[in-house]
Amino acid sequence: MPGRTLVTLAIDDLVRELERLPEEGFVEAARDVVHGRVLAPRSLEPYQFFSTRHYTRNLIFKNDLFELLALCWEPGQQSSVHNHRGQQCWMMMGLGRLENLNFRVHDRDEVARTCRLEPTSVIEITRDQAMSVDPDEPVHLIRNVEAWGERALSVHLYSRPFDTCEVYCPERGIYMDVQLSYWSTHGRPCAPGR
Amino acid sequence: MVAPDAAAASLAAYRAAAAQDPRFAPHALDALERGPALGEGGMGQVVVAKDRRLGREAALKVIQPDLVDPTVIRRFEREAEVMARLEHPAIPPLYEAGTDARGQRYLLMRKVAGEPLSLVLRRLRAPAGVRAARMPDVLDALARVAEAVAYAHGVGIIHRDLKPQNVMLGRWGEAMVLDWGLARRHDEDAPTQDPGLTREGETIGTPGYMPPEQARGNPVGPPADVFALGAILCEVLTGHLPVEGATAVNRLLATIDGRIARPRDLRRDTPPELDSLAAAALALDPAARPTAAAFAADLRAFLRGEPLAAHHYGRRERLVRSARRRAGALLLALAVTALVGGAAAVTLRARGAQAAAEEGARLAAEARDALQRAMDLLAEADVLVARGAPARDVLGRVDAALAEGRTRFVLWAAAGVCLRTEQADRARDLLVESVDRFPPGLRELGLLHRLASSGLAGADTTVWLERLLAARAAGVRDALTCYAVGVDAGVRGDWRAAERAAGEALELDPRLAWAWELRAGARLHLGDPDGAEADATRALELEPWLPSAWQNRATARLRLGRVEGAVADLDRVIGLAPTRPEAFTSRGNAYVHLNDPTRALQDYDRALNLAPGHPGAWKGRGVALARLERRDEALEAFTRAIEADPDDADAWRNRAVLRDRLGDPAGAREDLDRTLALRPDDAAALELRGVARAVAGDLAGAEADWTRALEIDRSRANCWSNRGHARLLRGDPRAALADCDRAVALAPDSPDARYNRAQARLALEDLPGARADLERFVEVAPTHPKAANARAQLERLRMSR
Ligand SMILES: [Fe+2]
Repeated sequence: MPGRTLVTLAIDDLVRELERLPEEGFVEAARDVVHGRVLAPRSLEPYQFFSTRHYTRNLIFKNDLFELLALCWEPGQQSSVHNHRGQQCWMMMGLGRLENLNFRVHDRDEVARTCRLEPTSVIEITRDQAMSVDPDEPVHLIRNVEAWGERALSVHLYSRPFDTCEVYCPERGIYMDVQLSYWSTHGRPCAPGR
Repeated sequence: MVAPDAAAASLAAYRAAAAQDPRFAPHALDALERGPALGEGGMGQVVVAKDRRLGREAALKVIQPDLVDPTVIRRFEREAEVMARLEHPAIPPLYEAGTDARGQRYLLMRKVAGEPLSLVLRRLRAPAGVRAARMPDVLDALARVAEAVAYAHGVGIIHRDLKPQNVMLGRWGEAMVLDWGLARRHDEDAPTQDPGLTREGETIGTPGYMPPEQARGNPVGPPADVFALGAILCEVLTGHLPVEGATAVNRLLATIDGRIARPRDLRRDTPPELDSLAAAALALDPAARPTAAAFAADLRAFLRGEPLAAHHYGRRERLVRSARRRAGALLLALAVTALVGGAAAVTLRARGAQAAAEEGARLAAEARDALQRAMDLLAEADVLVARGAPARDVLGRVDAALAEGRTRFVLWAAAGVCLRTEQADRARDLLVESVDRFPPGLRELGLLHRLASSGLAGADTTVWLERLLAARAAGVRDALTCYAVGVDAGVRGDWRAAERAAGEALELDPRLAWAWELRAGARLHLGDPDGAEADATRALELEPWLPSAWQNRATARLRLGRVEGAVADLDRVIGLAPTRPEAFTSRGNAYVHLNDPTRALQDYDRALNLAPGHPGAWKGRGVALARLERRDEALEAFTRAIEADPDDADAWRNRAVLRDRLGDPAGAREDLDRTLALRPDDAAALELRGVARAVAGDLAGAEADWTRALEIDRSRANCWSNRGHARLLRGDPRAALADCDRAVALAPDSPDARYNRAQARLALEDLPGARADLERFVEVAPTHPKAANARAQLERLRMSR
């Protein structure tokens, strides 16, 4: 973005910077950090695990206040339509770029667990354009557009950490809770099933 | 997430607001009698409502009381406003909008008798696309829809959610555009009056029908509706949406990427003019799309056989168009071309290499032209099919196309036209020719196999299957060869492998209806009728002409106890393949379930006319006759069933019951022995044989049978009661009482259980208990053969006190 200088830093430095933030006001301070930094790609190499089947979730750091993940995407891979339910979520790119689609939920019925989804916007996330998930419209889908033909690695900051998220199935108009799992933690691959 | 108390507060606020809103003034909704549901949209429920004052039926749409999201309420109001502005024969008129005494908002509008276009498309979908005979009707309906949309655009309203589910085709040929709940005005200056409702960036609609600008969340105008019309036209013509994707999300992403097909990409034989019209409507650039009015005008032009504005007619096409008006002259010209082509091939050999090369290039160009002419003729044949022309005319075009050159491509397309004209035998001949003359074509082999195995044309099922398996053995792993492996596994009875192979085929091509059908069959064999029903339904959505898929779904529904649905499916089987005895037998069985033995008997008789030794039909006939109390004939039928299939334990058991009733206990006993030899764990047969043994005085044998029956099924009250009685007779009243207690616990009003327990209690001198049981016994069964005895016992008990 013109007129804005972004500081390049290694992922470990980002962790340290975030760790220093006070619990009070964390959300505002973290947003400034994320939008003012570019990640050094070399520093992310320990967390690069690509799978041909699905994008992978790789844990970089976790404490009670926040969780930092590297997500690795082959071209054409996409997430489900999901929701972070009150969680704050920011994304910055380490490699390549991603496309984010936002949805609005209508006619949500908590008893029958049905709803209707309507797409509201398409945003491209690039190395110099980080993204905050809109707390008013937190339902989204992320994908690495196949036609771009390059791998992508995105770093996601969540506060506070959750181990489930809500996944929407627009076909049937239903949503359900899904357990999240890591592909690797702290640079070491996890045993299958965890 | 809305917390319950927040929801309650919101509901109260909504009711208060509603009470003050003049448009929704409280109204006596008691004048309306609510009937069955017509359908449920995203935000409201639509029911039939009868207006008692006027005696007319209307459609009543109400907001579900628990949906208190304010945007839902405002959309509902918006629908009322929009509908009030629209007056068009293809838009249902709004009678009234109001709020009932409970604060529930409602819209009262004309009830449209008919069915949604989505259902018509699903039902009429032939191998691909709408079945030809109904094509003009559907195109005419679509033209009416486009005219209604053009009218709405003219008064400044965009629908924004056009799709086949929202188009109702009426009984009198009328088409109605429903569900204006998402509509908005496009002539309002931004920002709109309703910032919360039509906020900049909001997009609404259904992936597959929505244009790229809507999928991206950009503002939309009237061209968005035209895109939807193009998508519906594409679906009508090809059976497929122009946007690929198994899920709504994937269709949405494909739309954003601009991966939008035109009908000819999906089905080669789409009429070129309609292909052009759909492609124009599906243009990525909204400004490049025709208006809804122009779209409607072009559809009408096509139906009248006039040129379309959206289609660019090439020179040859113009020539062909004029030539076709003189069809006889055209056929003559084609014959001449064929002769010249043959002569050129002969003279080629005599010339030098240079000349031969030139000649070769010229012949290649001619072959290309001939192929183009053949495809034009086949496209024209399909148009004729679509317009309901006589089969003779259609087949004339097919012959002319084949005369241009019998290439693999032409043969395949010609076979498709023949299938759509219900000339399955002709289609088969063309496919066989293709398979003989060209390298193994998997789709040709697959279709030949299906035609044979569904009884539509040919009987040589295994030949084609083996050729598909040979291709698989040679390393071709695609949906068709996976399917063939599954069929083969099914033939060998390995239904697990069949299910797996069908699943693989579906992963490779989820549109392969035969694989859905195969998996349905496998799941039936594996005892999963729910899965089977779902799979068969998928198969039928794709290819409703598959009689065996209807049959599989019917069988699944019978197992699930959905007998009426099964009968409807079997009606379809019989309509499609009236020579399958299984269909008549199954429908007969369904009628027995529905307690209609007379109709069941008719079906069994038809099955037996087709296949005189059909064991299932004989057995069913026996059951139906027994229900009709025609016992001698029933006995005869069971005997024939046993002759036809001596391993059918049910037939033996049924005959046993009948023989017992006809006073032949020894015969019954023999049949039960056979039943139990075939199926040792048949608790019902064990119980019956126990009774036969007891009657013959073999109490120990009877007790052994009942004990075994109770080991298998502990819920058989009669069995407990019978064994209790036997144990009492053998002098063990305590064991007898324990059994009778179980019997009474399972069936408190069973007279036998009460009587037998009374006897056991008498033997154990529990006089009050015995008395209670006897009193209950004479109360529930006053005419029982043992009632007199019971009354005498009661009398004695009273005297002895
Ligand atoms: Fe997310």
